[in-house]
Amino acid sequence: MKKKLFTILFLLGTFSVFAQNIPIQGIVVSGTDDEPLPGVTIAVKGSTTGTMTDIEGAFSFSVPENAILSVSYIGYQSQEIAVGNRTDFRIVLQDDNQLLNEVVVVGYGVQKKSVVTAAIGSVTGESLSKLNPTRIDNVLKGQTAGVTIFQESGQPGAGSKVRIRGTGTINNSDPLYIVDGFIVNGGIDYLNPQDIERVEVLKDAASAAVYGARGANGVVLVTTKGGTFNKKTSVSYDFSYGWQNAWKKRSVLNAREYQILMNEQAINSGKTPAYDLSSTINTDWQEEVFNSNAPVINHQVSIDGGNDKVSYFLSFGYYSQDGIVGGNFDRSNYERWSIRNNNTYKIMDAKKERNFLHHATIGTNLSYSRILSTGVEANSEYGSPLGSALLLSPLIPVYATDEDLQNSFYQGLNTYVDPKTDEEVTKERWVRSKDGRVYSVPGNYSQYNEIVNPLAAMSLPGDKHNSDKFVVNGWLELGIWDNLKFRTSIGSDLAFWGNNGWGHEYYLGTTNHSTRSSVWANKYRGVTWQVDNTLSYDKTIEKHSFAVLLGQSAIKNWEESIGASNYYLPSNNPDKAWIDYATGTAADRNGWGSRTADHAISSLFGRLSYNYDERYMGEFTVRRDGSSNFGKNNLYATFPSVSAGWNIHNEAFMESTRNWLTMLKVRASWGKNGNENIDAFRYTTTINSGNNYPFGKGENMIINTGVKPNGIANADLRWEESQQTDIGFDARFLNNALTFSFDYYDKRTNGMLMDVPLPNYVGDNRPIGNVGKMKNSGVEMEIGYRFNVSDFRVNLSANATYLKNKLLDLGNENGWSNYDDLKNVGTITRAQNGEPFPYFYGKKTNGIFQNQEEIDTYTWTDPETGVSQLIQPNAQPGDVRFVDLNNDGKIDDDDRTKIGKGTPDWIFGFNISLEYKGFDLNAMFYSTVGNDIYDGTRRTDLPYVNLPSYMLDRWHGEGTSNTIPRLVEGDLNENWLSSDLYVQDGSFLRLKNIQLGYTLPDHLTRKAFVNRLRVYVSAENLLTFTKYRGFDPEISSGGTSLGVDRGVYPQARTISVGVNLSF
Amino acid sequence: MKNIRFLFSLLFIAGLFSCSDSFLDVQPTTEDMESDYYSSEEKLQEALVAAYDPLQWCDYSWGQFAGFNFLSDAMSDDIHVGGADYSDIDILHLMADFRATPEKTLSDLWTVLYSGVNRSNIAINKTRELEGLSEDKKQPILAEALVLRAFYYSWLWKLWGNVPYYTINPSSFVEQIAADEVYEKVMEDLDEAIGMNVLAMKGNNRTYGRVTQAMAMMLRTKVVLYQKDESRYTQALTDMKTIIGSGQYDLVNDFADLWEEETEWSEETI
Repeated sequence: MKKKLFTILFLLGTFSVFAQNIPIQGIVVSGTDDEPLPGVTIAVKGSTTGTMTDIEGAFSFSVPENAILSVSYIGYQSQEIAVGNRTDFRIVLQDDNQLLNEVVVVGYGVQKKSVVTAAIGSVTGESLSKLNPTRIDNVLKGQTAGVTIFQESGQPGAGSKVRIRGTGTINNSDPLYIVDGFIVNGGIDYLNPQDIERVEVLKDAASAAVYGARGANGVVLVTTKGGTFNKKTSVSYDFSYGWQNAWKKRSVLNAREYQILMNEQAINSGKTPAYDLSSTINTDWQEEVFNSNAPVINHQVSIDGGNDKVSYFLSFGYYSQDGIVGGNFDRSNYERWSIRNNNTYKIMDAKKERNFLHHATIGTNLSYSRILSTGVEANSEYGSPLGSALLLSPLIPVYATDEDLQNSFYQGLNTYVDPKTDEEVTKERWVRSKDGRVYSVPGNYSQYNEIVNPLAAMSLPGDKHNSDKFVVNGWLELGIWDNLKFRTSIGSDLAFWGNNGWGHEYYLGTTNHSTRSSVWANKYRGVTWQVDNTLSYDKTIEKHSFAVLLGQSAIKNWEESIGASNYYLPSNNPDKAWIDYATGTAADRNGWGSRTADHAISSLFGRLSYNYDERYMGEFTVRRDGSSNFGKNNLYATFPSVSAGWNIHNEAFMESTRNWLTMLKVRASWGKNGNENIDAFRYTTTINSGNNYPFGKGENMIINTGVKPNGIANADLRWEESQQTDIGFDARFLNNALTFSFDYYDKRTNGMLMDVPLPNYVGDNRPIGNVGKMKNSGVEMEIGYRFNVSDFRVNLSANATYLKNKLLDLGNENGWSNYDDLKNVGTITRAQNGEPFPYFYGKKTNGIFQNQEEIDTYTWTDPETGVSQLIQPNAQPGDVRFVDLNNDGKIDDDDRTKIGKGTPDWIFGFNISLEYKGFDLNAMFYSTVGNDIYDGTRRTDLPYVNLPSYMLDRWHGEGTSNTIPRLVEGDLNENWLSSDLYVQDGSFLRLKNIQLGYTLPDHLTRKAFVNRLRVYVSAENLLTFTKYRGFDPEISSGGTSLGVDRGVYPQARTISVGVNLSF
Repeated sequence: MKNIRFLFSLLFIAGLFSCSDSFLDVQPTTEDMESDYYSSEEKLQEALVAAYDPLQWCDYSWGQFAGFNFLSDAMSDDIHVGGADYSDIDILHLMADFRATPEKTLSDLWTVLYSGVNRSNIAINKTRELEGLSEDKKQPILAEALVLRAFYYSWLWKLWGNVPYYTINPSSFVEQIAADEVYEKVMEDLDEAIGMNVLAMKGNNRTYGRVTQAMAMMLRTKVVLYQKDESRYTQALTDMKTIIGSGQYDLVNDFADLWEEETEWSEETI
């Protein structure tokens, strides 16, 4: 009895002993030089107990049982240490700058940056939080070498074309986009950029090899934000509001200049001048068209946190952007709502108990985005709003005067034959503004063809686009034994998109009018699902480390579509613009629908990485893919790659350099990747209908259905293959404060898919074959320097890319092909063996003929007959002197040559980041050099359109100009056919982004339970330095039109203010 | 324990190979594959109609005016090429002056005629290959397709002489053969088609436009006379007598009727 009582008392006593504090002590040293660190904060997690280290780095205090120590010190990485049974500690803190333990996301896994042997560019979370991008293209622009981003236009929602190491092929050159391990089709514009944690760009063959069949154009690996285990919930709210304006207007003639030049043109053409300079109208069309202070708004709420079993990240975003052209007419707007939820669950963690099946983790990534948008034609000289604004005469008023409206032209527009009744009706077809005034019609003043009053055009109802996209995926990771992990994942991308719109009777111009109302709708649905299974194992035996990955992947995708249209809406009410409301008959109604065939890819892959003592590294990857795009003869293809590296700094003989050289790695890689992105069924033939023929006579005539195969098959159709060699080195100096990286690469694309050159007597469409070759080579450099100057923290980084693109073999019979052309100007872009793809094509000029004598002495002597002839017999003083390139005595199409190219030679990015107490300043400069722009904004086929201001420099007498010819109608000398007069240097330097922010001091914000409050002001496209006279040197459509400006919708200069709040 | 581990690895490896070729075997959704399409008389008729289709393109195919009806006479003095001047459809002027060159010739018409050859070959070969269809159903289709092929080649032969000749559609280069050999091949096709004796002598309201026995005979005779092949003169005479003797053809009263749409397919039209 007494024993029991004593035991109970003892136990009670021991319980109270357990509640007492344990004294601990220790020392904190720096990991780089082993020196003790004074002033280090050591606190007990979850309580206010804590202390700081003294001058000798030592500390001692009492902590409760099972305490977790939180050790932190500015400039060093924080640590958390469980006290457990220990009472004496030696804590080693690693420098914040130490990047050697940094990891890089690679295909199907992560790899320590120190042992990476491939060329991978990273945009880290740190850079992203400074950039604060609200648009996807700003995530990558100027951040890493080797990546070129071309934006189609500055229109809200405009797509961007990303090119990694040049244009790889004349077919689809888009890189492969992977978000959280899943392939995403259709681009990543649906992603809320504020959900992105980091982006890796896989540039060389070795890094992209694990994606084999689709890696030839490089891979963009996006990782979205996730939660953190054992972290208190934090909520953050980010808001920004910006005002957008056109950063530049193009200089065009005003009313007085226009009249003077038109009169001169008339005189030069033998006509009477038409203007007496008395007009009071002086319309600045660009001023009318541009929408000033167009708003761009972004709201984002993110919540993340976790305990020891679950981590979560939840975000809600709203982004809205009005366009600087058409935004105020609701014709160029973009709105996106997005929701994301990324969770990780540790459903089993038995690491301490057993080795077999020791842990299981499940993760889910769910996202939904909804986009509503409208758009105007963004780059066209045939009636786009900006294109028209450049070409309309300043003498045309924006609104028609009451007097004008009484004339026969305007009255005539409202009388037309109603197609429904076949009778003439009188109904208003003028386009009115919101306040009821009638917009003027250019046709009343002169011949304008497709060019229309841009405000009237934007006042018409347009197409509305909508999109709902669900991207969901889940994965399970099982730790089987030691480091042997099995991971399986399944994901699905469900996209629903479509457009609907309507129109009513209107008149804008001779080629742009309608006599009836119409309504249409299209709906599309795209499904992608993907399954991946991988088995990975890594092991270190003494100094040998190796990692093995084996995997299998399958993906399938298809699309369905359906659409309908009808005519004759009873009233022009935008809320009733639906097909059922229309009154058209069966003959007026139209419907269509389709489904693409399944596209399937099935793959097996493996990777072996090895390193010895982190000094010698090697990696071998191989992937075997099968794609439904290829026939039985070439269903599968294998893509190997190998890379090796040497960490020179880890060698014993480098011991003496250790204090200033932290890393020096040389690496090289070689590999093959493929591109299977072609149309389906090109390896065989399918049946085409529509080859009909009528038999019979009169009422008995029937059009009989005829069918035939769609062409000649090529059963041996193969993947496009690219082979790439990369050599580079990475160096880090001065405790990682200075970093430098260099790469040289040579990429050859073989077997580019093109029509096989066969003569016409084969009587059918050519088969497509692997016949072309393209080469891209270049050099990439990245440099970074971070340092502190008293209280300033400075971080500078720059990257430079040099690229050279050459089409080795177009694969067709004559080795060249003409692509784009401009009306009355001729072919303007072209591809040819041995030249960059594509390039500008035209004649070379050599000044202006100042007088008749110059024309008469510009002769050519026939070597056979000895007879001299005028090379340009139709020329008059003031006309362009063209170079007779082929020396045949005349100027014609054979004198055309390469006059420029849209691909830049050099691309530069430069980032500055400054922090001083609570202030931060970030700036990003972006520049391309060596790219030309073809200024295709004029309409030389219409004599009375407005002209750009540089035409004031036209020749109007001897010695007045040697660059711009005289103004004349008819143009017998063909002054304005494609020539170097159209090509301008598009090199530019732009301050893309500058942001100045201030974070309120902790002690102020804590009172309101706010963890961090930062306010900032930022500007996008604030400064631009360029010689190009057009709207924007940074924009160009891609593909064969690379570098052609037809009045492109420019990017806006945006000034924004914003708030980052976190609780 | 060990057994379970072994089982797992086995399952995994099995999983790797479970994705078989059938996963990649997809079919088009809005078209039929050619490989097994021509499986019935109806489908062969569709191929035959496609062989007629190029006849609609001869005059003005891809921007080059050929004036098919008058083309052959351009080199005689019956027809004057005309136009604004010598550069107006210069290829015809050059042809009329016997100065056509390989670059300046009726290149579009060349492509049209070979398209016809290509489609006729498909109709002929697919008909011959199809199993399970009786001969008397195949013959009418074959006869029409053979005459069409002969027609297309006869024009190529007449305008260009030595031309590439093929009966199986090529996917690579084909050698040209001598004009006389082309003539023999054209004769072969016509002899076979006429010999089958399955074509109607004259069409009716529902079939005007199709190849008829009379048309095949006329074509054979024209080619024979152009070749000046005396060995076939008697056969030609017999053919002409057969046509006249059939009683289905006669001259129209008003010559102008031959050029009007309402009086198309008169008794004079072969």
